[in-house]
Amino acid sequence: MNRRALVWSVFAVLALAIGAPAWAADPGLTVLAASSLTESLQKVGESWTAAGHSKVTFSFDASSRLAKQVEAGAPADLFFSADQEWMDYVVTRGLVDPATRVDLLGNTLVVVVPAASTLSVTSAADLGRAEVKHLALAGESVPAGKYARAALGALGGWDAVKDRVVSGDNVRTTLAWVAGGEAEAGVVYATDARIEPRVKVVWTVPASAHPPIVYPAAVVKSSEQATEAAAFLAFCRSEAGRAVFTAAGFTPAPTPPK
Amino acid sequence: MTVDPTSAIGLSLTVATAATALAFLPALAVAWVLARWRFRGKAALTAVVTAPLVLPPVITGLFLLRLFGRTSPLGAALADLGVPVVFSWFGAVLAAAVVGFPLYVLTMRSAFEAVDRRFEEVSLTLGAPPAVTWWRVTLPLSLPGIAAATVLAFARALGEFGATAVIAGNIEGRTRTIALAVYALLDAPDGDAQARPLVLASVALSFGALAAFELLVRRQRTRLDLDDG
Repeated sequence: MNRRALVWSVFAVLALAIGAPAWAADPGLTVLAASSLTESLQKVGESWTAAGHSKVTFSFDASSRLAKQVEAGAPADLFFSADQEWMDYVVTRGLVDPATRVDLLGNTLVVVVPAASTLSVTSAADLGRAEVKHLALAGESVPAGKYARAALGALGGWDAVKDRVVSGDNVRTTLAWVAGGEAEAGVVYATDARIEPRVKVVWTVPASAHPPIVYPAAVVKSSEQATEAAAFLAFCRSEAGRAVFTAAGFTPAPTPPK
Repeated sequence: MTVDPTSAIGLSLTVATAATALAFLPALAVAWVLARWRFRGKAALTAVVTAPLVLPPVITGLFLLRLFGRTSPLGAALADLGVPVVFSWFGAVLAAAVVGFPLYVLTMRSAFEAVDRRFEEVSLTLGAPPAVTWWRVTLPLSLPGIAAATVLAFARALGEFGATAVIAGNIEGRTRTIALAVYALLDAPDGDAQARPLVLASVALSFGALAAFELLVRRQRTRLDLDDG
């Protein structure tokens, strides 16, 4: 290393040392949320910030991956899961505050096909037809994938499709595969189907075939802004928050009595 | 979820082997052209060939998806021929071949460039035709370097994740290689214990390949360093 490079390196290290506390002091909330909540939660976050609160930074991915990140000590304030099991996972490990846990939303599971497809699906058995060369589901541990597998298992269609299943990283990858025409059909949430014009819903999976789809949320124990996080969660359940989720197709849980 | 570790390890090995074999001749040709030819657009060719080395693999995967997806003419034609790319074993091979290609070419190129042209000239002045000179002089002198390039491309193919995740769909026994299996296990409740043998296998394979690479590079140096011999 020549002298000049050395001087610049020292500068860089110093700048980092001075800058780092500024990042650490960033008052914004960090929210880990199931990928199916992407658009709605971002909208809620915008109105939250517009109402004079601090900004919210989101990380959207499969609930399973987020739960593992919380377990690994990710610096987050709130966790929105797309199923109870992954919320239970972090609760039993003492990673979130169980007193703050609320069931926020409900959703439905649908079968989507590319918009131009002529495929008609009116039962689980139809997914086993030869035209469905690839059936896109979310991964085995991802809530959307778990619900879909449970439903196909309960409705008796699993054996016919299991060799044709392609597993997406999270439900939005799954949706993208159908939208791009790579998979002939896929199982996603009704709310996902709404945001993607390149797919159409051909069948709604009966709710009785899988565990109830519920999105629980809770404040992460290690949060340094637990009060602010709880306030954001309350905002999600307020009239304004519920309106956003309803418009996106979720079925919000009722606002708790004051 | 449960993952069969032998399936993932076996698949990683077959995919990487097939990818290395598939890319060998194209890489050799491009490396030769880059090492010995002068032409307009050489810098552009180098950039295109090297791009997968520096592009985020996810983006390489996206390009492959657009190029070979079912909605593209090329992808549709291949699928009609019975060689679908997306969500297939061949797709995993193709992804691994493309991301391994830059290392292949760059290493082979330096192997060719390191050959002392005087040996070739001696051969030519003694009456050997260019093809014979290439076969009997250039190739033997650069062989350890070519072998090293092959091992390096194999190692990279073995480690491929990003592009494969985009086009191959994580299917057990078909595209779920070690890297994809470990990624899928990362978010399974009991995944860590299942991932362990795969992680160990991956580390062992990678270090083994790198050791072989180092050995071959050393042999290339001694072969060319005839003054000391």
